[in-house]
Formats: sequence, structure tokens, C-alpha cells
Amino acid sequence: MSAVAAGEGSDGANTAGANASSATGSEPRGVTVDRRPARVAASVAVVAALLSVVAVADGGSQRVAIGVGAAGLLLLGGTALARDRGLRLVAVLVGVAGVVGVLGGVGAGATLPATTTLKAEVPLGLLGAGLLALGLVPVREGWSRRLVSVGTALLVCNVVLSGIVHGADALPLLAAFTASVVAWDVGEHAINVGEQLGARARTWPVELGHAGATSLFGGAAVAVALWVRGLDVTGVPLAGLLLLVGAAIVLLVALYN
Amino acid sequence: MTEVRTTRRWRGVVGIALFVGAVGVLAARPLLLLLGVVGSAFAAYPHLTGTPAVDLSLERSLGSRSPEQGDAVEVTVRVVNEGSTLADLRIVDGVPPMLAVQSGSPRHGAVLRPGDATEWSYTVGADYGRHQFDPATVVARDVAGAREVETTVAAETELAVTDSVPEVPLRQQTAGHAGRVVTDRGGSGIEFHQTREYQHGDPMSRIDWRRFARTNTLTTIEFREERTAAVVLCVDADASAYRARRDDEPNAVAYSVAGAEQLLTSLGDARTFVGLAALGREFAWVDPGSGREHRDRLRTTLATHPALRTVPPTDPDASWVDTDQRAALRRRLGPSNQLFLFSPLTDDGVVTTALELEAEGTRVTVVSPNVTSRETAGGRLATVERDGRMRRLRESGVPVVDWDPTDPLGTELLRQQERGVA
Repeated sequence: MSAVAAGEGSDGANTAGANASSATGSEPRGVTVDRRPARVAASVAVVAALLSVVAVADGGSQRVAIGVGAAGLLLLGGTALARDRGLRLVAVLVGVAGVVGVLGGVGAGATLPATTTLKAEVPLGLLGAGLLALGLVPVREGWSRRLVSVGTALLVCNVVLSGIVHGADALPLLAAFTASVVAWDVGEHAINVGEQLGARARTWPVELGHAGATSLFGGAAVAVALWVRGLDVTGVPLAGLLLLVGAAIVLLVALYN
Repeated sequence: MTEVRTTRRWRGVVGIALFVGAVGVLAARPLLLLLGVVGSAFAAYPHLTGTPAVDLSLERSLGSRSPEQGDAVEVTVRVVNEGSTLADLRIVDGVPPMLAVQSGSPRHGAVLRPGDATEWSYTVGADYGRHQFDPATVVARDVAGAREVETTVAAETELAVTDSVPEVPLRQQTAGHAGRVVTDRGGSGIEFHQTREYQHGDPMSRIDWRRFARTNTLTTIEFREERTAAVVLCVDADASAYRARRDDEPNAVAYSVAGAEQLLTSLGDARTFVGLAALGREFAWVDPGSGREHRDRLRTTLATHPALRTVPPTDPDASWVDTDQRAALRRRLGPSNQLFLFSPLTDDGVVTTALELEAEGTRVTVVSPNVTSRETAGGRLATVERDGRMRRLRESGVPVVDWDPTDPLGTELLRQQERGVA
């Protein structure tokens, strides 16, 4: 008796949509609130991740790989939309297609380009963007933060690899690096907003405000980095650089304690 | 209630900055060191922003002032920023625990410049009783998200569905008191109690005019107050009472508070003296009284007293109600009182209290919201234990109302009365 009667509480009494009341939930009856990452920020994060890959890529074959991967990411976005509308089967199917797309992009990036160095850099970034997107769909609750972190790590590795192996220009490299940090920050923000406010709340101003601020700051940081480069300090000897890096480490540790 | 937290969400970027810098040095790539510059800038970013100062005001308006049971009531919330810019503001409105949100969300995110306002609405299903909205919880982050301030913004809003509560069947009051007790409190009555300085608003008939003629000072005469038998509504809010049938349903304390609210509403028309007590995180007590203002005071206490918070304790095995609280309750009650004790009967202490009070002459009626479930083994055990406690009470002459909280309490009370139990 108890279970049935419980279902006929005030919320079940006059709701036409059968599961509408339980799905919305309020604070007290809150376990059913959908806590998935906020959509706007999640989209911005995935776009930033893709930009990070695009910025360091060059050559037609890499573009093809990125195109395939981007289609996969788009499909993952479709999964999220389908999930929001309660179309579970559609979400799973589109999600599988998305993962296949991203992996196809990774495969194309690893095989199509002519040289080994070119083969190495795009797949890593696409894999990172794919993991980030899976974390934000999210493919599984509780995995979001881990997937976003791992995805970001791969994106950064991709940028660093690109910097080492084929010496991309300063601006694309800086832009790619900034975009990967923005992707991580905005992705984490999406998860956090989703946790605190849930899916039904209107949160886009907060999401866009945060993403905009981080991007602006990143842009300013890139400008500063370019200015530093303009000073031509890269000519200093390695010992001096090591000292500089050591000082930077001490400063960072001091900042965080 | 304001709490400032450091989120530490930018910690990872220090690792990234060090990583790119280290690779740059090892691989002798100056460009990667430049990435280290950007990384360091991001590491410094959270230190460049300040802790947001939250100064908000909140207004709630209800689509319908006096809805019927089951109606969808639109709640519109408007929040105005009275302070500085808030770049990342998250608001969760304090929906009364007994009301379920039907559409929309009581949660909202906004970016507010000074003087800006944001407004949103959602609908709740109206349920029996008077429901006070809790203060809205506000979380404001600085633009980098490094620090967050959590606080609450209150606005008194009440949603009442009252017309469906029938009159409360009170127990017969016997023992020669005939419903009147002489108290030690001054007021209006017959027997002289004391004189005191005149206070603005004292009735003219109680002013000691002789003394005024003699000394030209106004004094007021107080008589011993005579009071009718008072009903005290007591909520058991011990840690063990915060049980719920399922996680997404209100707990027994929320039901008890709602039940007390329903009784209060129906007793309000009957000119009965009503008081309030709670055993829980702390002891709560409001002296019995009558009149509209007193009822409002009781309602406010029901909605706001910390002992009656409907948020479950973090440690469900805690026990807050000690002998001091029980003694405090017993001291204040006597043969002139009727006690409505709201308790899910989840432990033996409350049964003992009820029996002791009954033995001392207080007429006790236990109203027990049933939050047990037969779905699990633990639930079945709890059901058996509760049945045993109800039996013990009934054997000692204490009526127990076994209340299924999905029904209005009044209906249940009437049903019991027809059966001759209460």
C-alpha cells in the first residue's frame, strides 16, 4: 500500500505528463533532478577542444581527419539532446555513431598523413576532444570530471607534441594551448553548474559569462606571451632559462599554498 | 549563515604550466616555454579575482493566494542585486518541503550587475496546510570560479490550502479543572496579582486611577490570568525521526510539521489556547495562547525554528533528545494540558515520554505519520517495531492516530473519532 499511495502524492495528483513531476523534482524531492553538465558551457568546451586541435593542424589529410572527428563530436552533441528529451534508444544509437565518428577521425589522422610526425599529432587531440565530449554528455554519471581531465591532458599533449615535432608557429601554438585550457575550465564549469542547478534551470548567462571571461583572459595571456617573445628573450642561455623556470615553479607553489 | 569556500578548481593548471615548461626546457623548444607563460598566467588567474560580496533582495509572488488542493500554483521569484557585480550567481529557491515542483525549476543562474534584477518562475502543486517558503540558497562565485560564497536570502511567503481541514477532535478534559486554571501570570482576570508601570495600550479600565490622583503617575493593575485548558502541539524531531519512505519523499519531521500546521489551522477557529513544543536539535517552546497574532507566531516558529528544520541530520544515528529536553517538556505540561505529539515512533524514548506525560495527567494524543515501507527487510522490521510502540501506547490509554501522510490529517482524525479511538 505504501508504495502506491506514495506515488499519488500531491505531485502526482494533477500532472498530465506522467513522469514530468518526478523528473523536475524540487530541492526536497530532489534525487530525480537531472544533474548532467550544463549544455551551453558543454558545447563551448567541446568547440574549444576542437579549435585546439584545428589550430595546430596543417595539411589536407589532417583536415579530413579533423572533419570526420568533428562530425563524430556533433553526433555526440545529438546524443545529449536526445537524452534530454528522454529518447534513450536514439541517444544510445547516435552516441555509438558519434564514438565511431570520433574513432574514425582518430584512425584517419593516424593513417592518412604522409610523415610520421604528422600522423602523431591530430589523433591524440581528437581522442582528447572525444573523451571531453563523452564526459560532458555524460556517458556515465560520476565519470564526467575524470573524462574531462583526461581529455584535456591529451589535448595539451597534442599541442606540446606539435610544438616539438613540427614546430608550429607561435600564435597557433599559443591559441591551441589556450583553447585546451579554456575547454577544461569551461567543461568543469558546465559540470559544476549542472550539479548545482540541474538541467531545467536557466543557466546560460552564467555559463557564457564564465566562458567569455576565461577566453578573454586567455587572449590577454597569449598577447603577453607574444610580447615576451617579441622581447627576444629566447636567446638567453639554457642555464638562465632553467633558473627562470625554477623561479616560476617556486612562485606557483607559493601561490597555491 | 554565510560561508566562503575556496574551490581549488584551478590547481590542475599549475601542473599543465609546469609540464609544458619542463618539456620546453628538456626539448630546448623556446616556443613551449612561451606556453608556460600562458599556463602561469592561468595559474595566477584565480588570484586576481576577489571574493564576491553578496547583497541581494528577493521577492516571491504566487499565482494564486488561496489555491485548492492539487492546484498548480505559479511561483515567480525576483532577485535584485543590491551590491556589486556578481559574475556567477546561482540561486535555489526554498520550496516548502511538502510541496512538489511540477514544472519549471526553482533553480536559476544569473549574471547580475549592480541594481540588476533577474526573475524566473516555476509551478508547485498545492497541498493541504500552510507552507512557508524557506530562504533561498544563493551561491556566488567570482568570475574565475576560485572562491564561492554560499548564503541565504529570505522572503516571507506563505502558500495556504486551508479550507479542507475539518475541526480537530479534542479529548475530553476531566479531573475537576473544568478547563480553567489559575496561573502565575498577570493579565486580565478577577483576583489581584500586582501593579506595574503603565504601558502604552493598556486598557483604561485597568489603570489605577486612585494612585494617579495621588501621585500623578499612571500604573496598571494586573489580575491573575485565568486560562482554559491549552493544547500543545509537540513535534518529535530527534535524529531518528528524519526517516522517509524513499529518498525523494518528505521525511517524517516534514510531515509532522505539516500535520501540526494543519491542526493549528483548524484549532485557530476554535478559540482554543494553543502552544507549541519541539524535541530535537534543541528544545523549542511557545507558551499556549490564543488570538491571531499568537497563531502567526506559532506558524512562524513552526516554519523557522532550528529544531524544526526538515533537513535530515548528517549522522542519522545521532540522538539529540536527552533527559533535559524531556524534563523541560514535562515541567511545562500538566493536567491542564492536552498534548498532540507528532512522532513517527522510530524510537522508544518518545513512547516513554508520552507515557510519563499521560501518567502525570496531561492528555496525550500521538499522531504518527507512517513513513515505514514494506519493500525492504529493514523497512518491515521498522514496521513491526512501530506497530509494537503503537500497541504499547494504546494499551496505556494513549490514543494513537496512525496517519498515512498522503491523506489529509483531518480526515484521518475524523476517521479515528468515528471509530471511537481519539
